[in-house]
Amino acid sequence: MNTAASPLWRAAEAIAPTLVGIAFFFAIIGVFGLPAAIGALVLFIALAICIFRRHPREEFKT
Amino acid sequence: MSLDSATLARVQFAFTVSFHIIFPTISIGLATFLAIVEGLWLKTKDPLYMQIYRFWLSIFAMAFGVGVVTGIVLSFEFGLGFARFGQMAGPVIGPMIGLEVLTSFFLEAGFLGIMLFGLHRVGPKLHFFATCMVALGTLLSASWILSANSWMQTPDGVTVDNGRIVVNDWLKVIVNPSWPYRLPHMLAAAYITGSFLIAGVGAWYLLRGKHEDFGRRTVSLGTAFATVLIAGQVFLGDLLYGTMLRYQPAKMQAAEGFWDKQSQSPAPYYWIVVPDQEHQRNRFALGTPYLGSIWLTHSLYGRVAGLTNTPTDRQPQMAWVFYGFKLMYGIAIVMFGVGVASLWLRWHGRLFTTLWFLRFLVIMTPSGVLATLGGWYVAETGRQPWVIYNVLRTVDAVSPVPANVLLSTLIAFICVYSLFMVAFLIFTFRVIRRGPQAAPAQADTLGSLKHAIKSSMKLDPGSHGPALAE
Repeated sequence: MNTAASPLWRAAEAIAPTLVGIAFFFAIIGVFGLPAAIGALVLFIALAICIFRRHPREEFKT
Repeated sequence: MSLDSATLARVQFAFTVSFHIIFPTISIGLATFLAIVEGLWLKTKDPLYMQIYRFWLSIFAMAFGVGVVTGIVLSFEFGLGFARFGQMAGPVIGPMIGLEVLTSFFLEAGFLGIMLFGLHRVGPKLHFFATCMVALGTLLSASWILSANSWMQTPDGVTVDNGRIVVNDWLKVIVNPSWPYRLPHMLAAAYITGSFLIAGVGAWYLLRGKHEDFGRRTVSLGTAFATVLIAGQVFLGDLLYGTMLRYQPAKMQAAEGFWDKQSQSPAPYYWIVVPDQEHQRNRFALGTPYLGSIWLTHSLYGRVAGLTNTPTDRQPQMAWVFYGFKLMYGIAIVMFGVGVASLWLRWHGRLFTTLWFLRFLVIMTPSGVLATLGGWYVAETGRQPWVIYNVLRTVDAVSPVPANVLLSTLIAFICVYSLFMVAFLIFTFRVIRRGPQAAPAQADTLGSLKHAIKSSMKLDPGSHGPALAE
């Protein structure tokens, strides 16, 4: 990655999880209805557990 | 605001209950965390889990103690400050508080000693069982108190006969309409509080470059629990919102800051209002366009019902309800953001090295307590002017106690509780400053209570004897 692309990449890195987070929040809070809220909650928790399992011993990295 | 007896009785109860709720929230959250951590220790035999357990056990014990002492005061206040409430609702509230004592207090009292002092004296599995029983006790305690309080919010299963409440159906009293929603909401709040406490302290160690293994493990556990729990809490909160809108519309109307019977379309979502209760309007309002319609009506152009739908003599004071709700909801949004950020950073392997995130976790350490306080202000001030919704008004529930007596006892409560808070904070900060190494990973095989108390008072991290709560 060149240095010119770095700020753009950083901005994208910040915006992407923000948008995903906002989408999950709106869905879980029931904006798209109860079934969608339950689905979003299950998906969010499943996604979170997948990430936890991907880094189960992350804490030992130095 | 005049300092009459009714106002002072309410201020006194508000102060004592606000102080009290901080500690059960922490102890409920920490008790379950301790049970999980001890379970992980039993499963993995990793001494770091035992170190985490012993570190947080001492803080849990202190929070538990202050919570019990300040909780007992509330029972007396029912009778002393709100005698009419006691007379009328005693047949409902009395048995529920009695059942709380019989089920949860006895369970906690029976196993707390083993949990605090018994690791050397009973086997690890029995000790784990004791920890689970204490965690279960805290959960049962919350269940009974939430049941009693929810009955005051949405009374059911009773009739009023000659000014006294007669129970017709105990199941309806205990499982009243709001309890199935309020109990998981409160429990999730307590677990989230515990998670942010744990993550915040771990982050503080990482920022200082001390106790890094402990810091990494607790940040990892704390953010993992917090992320899953806050998502569930957002969902539960929305369900509870819908329930309270059905049973106590005035509360939710006040929580959103609208006065008109129907708001403009699209409705903004207000973050700041300066309500003028007398003229039934806002002097100032700041909000995000469209967001009120989207969040509150789940449509782009929906209108939101305002507080003038409720007669003025049945309205709560908007400012208390509105800002209690915004405090809780605002913190919940930030917590959700922290959860998403933690997932992202964990995915990229930067959870323990991203300084801004660790600093933010430290700032968020007390966030669960603040959000819980905000939520309780919504629940209690939003129910006004009723103490039992649509049954007994708060002004009719107070005792005929002279104002000067209430004022002097209020001042005494403030002084004594300030001492409690200072003691708790000094103890907690001292434990954190000493670090987890003062809580040995390996349990000692010998010792006595006398020795345990001595070594705890000496605060000697280098001692081979049991430390902290041991």
